[in-house]
Amino acid sequence: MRLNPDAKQAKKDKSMTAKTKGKVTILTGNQAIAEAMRQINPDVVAVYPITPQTDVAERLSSFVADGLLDAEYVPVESEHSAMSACVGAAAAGARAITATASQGLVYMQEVMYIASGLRLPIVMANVNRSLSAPINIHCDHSDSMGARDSGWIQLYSENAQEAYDNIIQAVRIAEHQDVRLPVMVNMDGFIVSHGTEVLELLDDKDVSEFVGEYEPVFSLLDIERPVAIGPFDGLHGHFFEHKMAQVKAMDKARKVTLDVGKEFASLTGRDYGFFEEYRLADAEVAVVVLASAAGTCKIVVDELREQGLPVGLLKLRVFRPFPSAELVGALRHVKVIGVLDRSVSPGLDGGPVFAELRSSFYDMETLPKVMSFIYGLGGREFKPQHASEVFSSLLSSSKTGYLGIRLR
Amino acid sequence: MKKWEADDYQLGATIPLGGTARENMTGSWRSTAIPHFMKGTCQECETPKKDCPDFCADCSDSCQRDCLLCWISCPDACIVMRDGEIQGIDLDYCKGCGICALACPRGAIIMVRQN
Repeated sequence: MRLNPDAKQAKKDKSMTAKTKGKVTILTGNQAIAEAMRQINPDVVAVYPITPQTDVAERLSSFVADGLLDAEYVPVESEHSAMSACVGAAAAGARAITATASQGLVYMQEVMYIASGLRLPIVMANVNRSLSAPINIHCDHSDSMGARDSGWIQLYSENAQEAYDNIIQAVRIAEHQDVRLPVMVNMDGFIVSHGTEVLELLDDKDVSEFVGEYEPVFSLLDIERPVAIGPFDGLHGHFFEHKMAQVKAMDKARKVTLDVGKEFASLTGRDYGFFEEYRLADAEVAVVVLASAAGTCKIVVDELREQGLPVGLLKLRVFRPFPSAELVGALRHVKVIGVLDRSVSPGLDGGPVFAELRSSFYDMETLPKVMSFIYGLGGREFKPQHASEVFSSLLSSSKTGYLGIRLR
Repeated sequence: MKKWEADDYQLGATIPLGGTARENMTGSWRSTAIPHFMKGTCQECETPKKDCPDFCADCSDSCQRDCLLCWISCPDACIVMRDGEIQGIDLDYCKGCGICALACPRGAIIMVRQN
């Protein structure tokens, strides 16, 4: 078994800074996020099962049935209803949590805009899976990228540890008074959700103290202070102004995400920012990648570094709000950047991360070469050889395109 | 009616008051038909017994004048009640849908076209 290089690093860091000693255990990604949700102890859980998230729904309902989670479990009949139940619960002043994947996320999307528009700090785990057709249950990021403009904060996780940590931090980011926006924590379907990993869990008490007590701004159940939530904006209302407030809250989420990450690091020793830089400081070429593929790329970076090649990696954790300035700052010395997208926008030259990253560089005087690579659609395997292909393309500034596609 | 500005709203466009729907007189977009309520027809039972909405065999105490079928049917809660008796229709909110007229077993509400 190949040890995750991060886990080793985390262990080293932890011995220096961490205040608490966590419990080291073995869990799948799904078990890890279900465990995080149990420890957060929300008031309402409304989940509809869908592959590859089903395990989370099952575990949460078992936790409630066994008295391990003191929440109202709403066995909804669809994802549209799951998100609607969360909106209703959050409007009533409850801390609400859900989880979904793929088609389920698409089905939720109508209500996701309502959750963010009403500024309800709902936390959701999304186990990334491709979208039909053809029907496919394996990982890609088409589902969450389709929801990128829904006003939800989006965090991506490389492994089960990060998924667990992100869920706990998501509560604090969402509920922060400067933010009050819903947060989606993404984790790669099957690769992470069903892969068994060694990870460190916090004590229930530490999680409980870290997330704190939820204090809603408004509650429909507060009869002393009656409110109308979600009213008609009128024929010449203030829709635009309310959207602007949402845009500003998303801007403020940048600082809050970093602050929460720092506080989490002081508790656990595991540091979280907008992104992770891996051997990037002196790199001349680098890849930018989300989620689990970063692990594969890191192994290849190490191999190529041993050969003396100036390669590095940037793993993006926070996709919304998009940390443009910080990304440019971290990558400005890199000559050739390869962006790996696990989703495709047919008709656009390159995936969403590529388009947004390259646009971030537009105002710079010296522009790096930014190349697009699409990989892993429908769970197509992303192997070290594909990462090597990317790096040789970057080193020779040559071909770009689609990785691991079977050609006739 | 209060003129709402962007700053008057709270987080998430929430209105920090109860019962504000009353300020919005939605009867201004009523159809051309207006319900006309005839109190006498509603309360003085002159219809043959077979049309009794309460299926009373004779005109006993169980006979309900003010049967409230219009009140329960109105989608905009425009049927005005006082002391257990229907007084009329609140045209500030009535959309002219005519459901009350259809629901009334005694023909006490008729829809009148307005130009």
